[in-house]
Amino acid sequence: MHAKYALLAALAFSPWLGAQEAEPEAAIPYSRDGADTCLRCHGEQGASPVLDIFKTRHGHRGDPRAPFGTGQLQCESCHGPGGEHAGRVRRGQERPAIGYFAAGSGATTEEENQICLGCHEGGHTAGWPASVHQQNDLGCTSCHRMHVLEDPALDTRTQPQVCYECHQRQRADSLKNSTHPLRYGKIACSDCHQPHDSTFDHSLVESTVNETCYGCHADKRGPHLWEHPPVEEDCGSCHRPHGSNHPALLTLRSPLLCQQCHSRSGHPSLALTGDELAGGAGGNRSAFLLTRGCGNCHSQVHGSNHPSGVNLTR
Amino acid sequence: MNTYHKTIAISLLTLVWGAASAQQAPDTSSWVCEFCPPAESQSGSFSLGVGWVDDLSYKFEDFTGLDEGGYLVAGGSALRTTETDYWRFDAHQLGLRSREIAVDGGKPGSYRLRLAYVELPQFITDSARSIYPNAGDGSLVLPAGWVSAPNTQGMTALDASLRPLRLRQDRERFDVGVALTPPGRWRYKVDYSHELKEGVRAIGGGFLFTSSLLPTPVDYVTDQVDVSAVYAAEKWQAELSYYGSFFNNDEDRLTWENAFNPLFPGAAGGQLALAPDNEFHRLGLAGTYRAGERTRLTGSIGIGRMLQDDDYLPYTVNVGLPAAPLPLNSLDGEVDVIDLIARLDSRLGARTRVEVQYRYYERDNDSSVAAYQPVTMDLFVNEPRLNRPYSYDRQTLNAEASYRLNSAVRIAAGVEYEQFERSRAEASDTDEGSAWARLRLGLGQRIDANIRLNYSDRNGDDIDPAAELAATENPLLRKYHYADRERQEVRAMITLSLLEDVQLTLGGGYAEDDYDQSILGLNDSEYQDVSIDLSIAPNEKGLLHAFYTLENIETEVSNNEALTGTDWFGDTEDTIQSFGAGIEFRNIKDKKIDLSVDYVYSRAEGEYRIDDGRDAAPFPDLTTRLEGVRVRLNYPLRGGAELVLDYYNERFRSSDWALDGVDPDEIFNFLSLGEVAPRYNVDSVAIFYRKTF
Repeated sequence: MHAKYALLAALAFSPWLGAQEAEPEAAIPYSRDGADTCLRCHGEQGASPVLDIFKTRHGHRGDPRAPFGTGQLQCESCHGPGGEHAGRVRRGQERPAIGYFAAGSGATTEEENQICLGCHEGGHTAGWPASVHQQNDLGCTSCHRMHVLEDPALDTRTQPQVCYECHQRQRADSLKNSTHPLRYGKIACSDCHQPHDSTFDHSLVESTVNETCYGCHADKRGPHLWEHPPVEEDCGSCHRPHGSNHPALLTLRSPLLCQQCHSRSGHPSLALTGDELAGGAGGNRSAFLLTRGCGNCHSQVHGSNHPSGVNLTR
Repeated sequence: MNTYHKTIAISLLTLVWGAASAQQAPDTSSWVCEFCPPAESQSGSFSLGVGWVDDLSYKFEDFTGLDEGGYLVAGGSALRTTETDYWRFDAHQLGLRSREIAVDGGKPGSYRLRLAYVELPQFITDSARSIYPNAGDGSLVLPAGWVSAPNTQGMTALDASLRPLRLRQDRERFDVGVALTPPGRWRYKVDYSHELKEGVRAIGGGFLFTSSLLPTPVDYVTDQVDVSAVYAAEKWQAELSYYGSFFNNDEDRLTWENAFNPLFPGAAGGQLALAPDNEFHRLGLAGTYRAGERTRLTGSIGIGRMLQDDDYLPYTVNVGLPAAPLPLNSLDGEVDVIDLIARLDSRLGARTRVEVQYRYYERDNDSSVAAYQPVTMDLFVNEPRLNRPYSYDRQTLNAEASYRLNSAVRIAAGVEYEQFERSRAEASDTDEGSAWARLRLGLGQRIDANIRLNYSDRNGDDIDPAAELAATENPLLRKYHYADRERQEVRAMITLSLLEDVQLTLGGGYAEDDYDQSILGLNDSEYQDVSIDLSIAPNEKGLLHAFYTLENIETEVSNNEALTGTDWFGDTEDTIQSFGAGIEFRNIKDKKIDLSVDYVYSRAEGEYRIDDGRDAAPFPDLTTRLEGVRVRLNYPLRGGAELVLDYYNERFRSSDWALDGVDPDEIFNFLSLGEVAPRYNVDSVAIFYRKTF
């Protein structure tokens, strides 16, 4: 029954959608033999080999939901009716393009996305219509590849390269002195970001920056007896998660990092210069400046649970 | 079921295609798929060989596990499909401490099971030296014959006592995931992970005027569980979820013997609290409702609770001090989190889309409050202090609209208002208004351009320095997370498809945060970048790609050593250049020989300047330079096999004034670990046999 309603709804609403300015055309027929029609030209030896799709979940015959499940429309589930594309053409006549996901098809990105969402709507893609990627007119195939055994966007080792095609700054960050291990294939962009949904800030997988970070850094979560606001609010206040020239992904070096928010708290906020470096002219190598700077004593910057840790030194 | 999905597919095609595709489902009974590969299949590949790393470098070994010497190259993948099942097995880097093994499969349309094991080595430094012979223990003892002194220069047994110290942490994670898709509208999913993290890190521990960097044990166990049930109806769907995270630290304290002479009698040792055990639980309910084909309502609510109730350590290990009783045995820490989101997005016709979203997030710290009498650095008893749990809430309301002028031009704009309330800040309330606009141009298949402007202005209504700043703080200080701020940003990107197989992408941006009311603190920060990407793929036999990115990050800070005015300024400037290029040759001379060469280069220079009006020595630049070259040759053998030669060279140079020349006794009152900034030049070569079946 639901299927009938869906079809009726589709037919009923179709005039209000993108094609409303076009005159009704004759329906394009489906191919005669389904995938067998397509594979006569698009087999492994063709210009666009596609057979690896049968090694993917899309090509699995046992999944009744998948394009090649029993009774499904096979290649034409996604590419649309292929009767014209596969039909005879006169000498000199250009072969009509298949309806979707092909050069010259004329389909818009949004139309093609709707085809993917027909099966993948819901779950992690529920927020796609309002996502940043959708707003930038990205198509599912801007990132995903269907006819290969390994979709690069779904493999931790290759996914960052897919993202870097647009996110060039993040690629540069991955090469910096202090980074998360993206370039070693040990973490993927999608471990922190949800590319299909921008409900949370920065399209994060968790509700806040901190909750996302605690997924791997639960030791920082607390709550601690002595807290250090705004640490509990936003790890990004002090850290650049994609990469930094400074240790521990910090935005700046200590002590200047800390002196952005602390002046004379307990002891003077000294103007520490090159005179205080190892071998400096001042002869006063400063523990406030060298190695971990303020962290040489105030080491519990993420909070302390020690009853005497009020100054984050215990 | 089949008919249902097929009809849905046709319905969707109808929707996106309009009247042109209004047609019935074809008769697929004769679609036998005889040219398709058999449904039952087994395929995969395995790799076996040897590798060699010519030098030891912790920095090179970081995350890769590539230690000096030989290693085994082993890995592979296998796929097995039947009429009903689909299973994958993957194994990578089995001979290294960065190994991964995963099994993923099940009966599509019925259930999916995923098992994985991952190791992640994090190597921090191998150049450290420590006097503590039992480094890695939770209770550090001084070496036999140690001579304490008031300063490092007087530590006559220092050189003889220093031992190499390697700071590293290893993670091991086990994942199990099950997804069930029974007939009907329900979907269920359970994910569980168990992670171990062990190793040694360094932490500072001091006694007011003296301090040391101390090797500290890391022995963490984190369990996470994520359970969800989704009900998907035709027009709406709802998801109920639970997430739990359980952190356990087997080392709750670090106790150490003081290498310096005690400042006061009895201060011969200290004790630090390490990360306490904690838990986080969250229940979530999210839903989407489609009101017609053009409008969608989305809402979610998450209610979470963080818990922490580790027993307190004593105020001090200094037995010479009066032992004040603790007001409580533990914090009874409890933070409640609420996250509420409501969103409406709608298409007003074919060209226009609007979206409105409201969000409320609250962190309510309901931990116990009591008066503690801290002992400052195990030296002396301080005045009683109340702990002050930190709470905040944040509300945001934003609205945006986009309009497609024609097939080439799309414009979008939005506004956002944010209100932040904090319990522990000189500005308890801040408001921020933002506006942005974006223009998108898509000129055929050749040009795609995008430019976005953003402006925001944040104001604190009632900044009261006396409210939270310590009495000794300068009242002119403004912390940047609440300080008045004007933010401007512009970003642009253009992609040019010059020829059919040549693509050029130019991107860049400028952003500035101006804290114009902050006399002391962060005054200004600027960020600029420009990037160029080039990709040439003339045919299936070759590919060339290259990129270059230049970034500049500047920060200005003002501060003082006294209680009034500004008496010194600090500014930093980081300039980073990144370059990479790669070329691939495939099927050379039609003999299925593949060759690829990749090169990456990144150089960063960091300027750090302090101006206090005196003629002080400048800081040398902080520099890092990374260069890497990879050459990979795939040579075909008989029977679907190949021989792979993989060579990688990486060179790294860095200079860091915070570490360079800082021997353990370099600082009069601080015993460091003597780490040096890393530099290396490492060659790694691997040769392995790969068989595909």
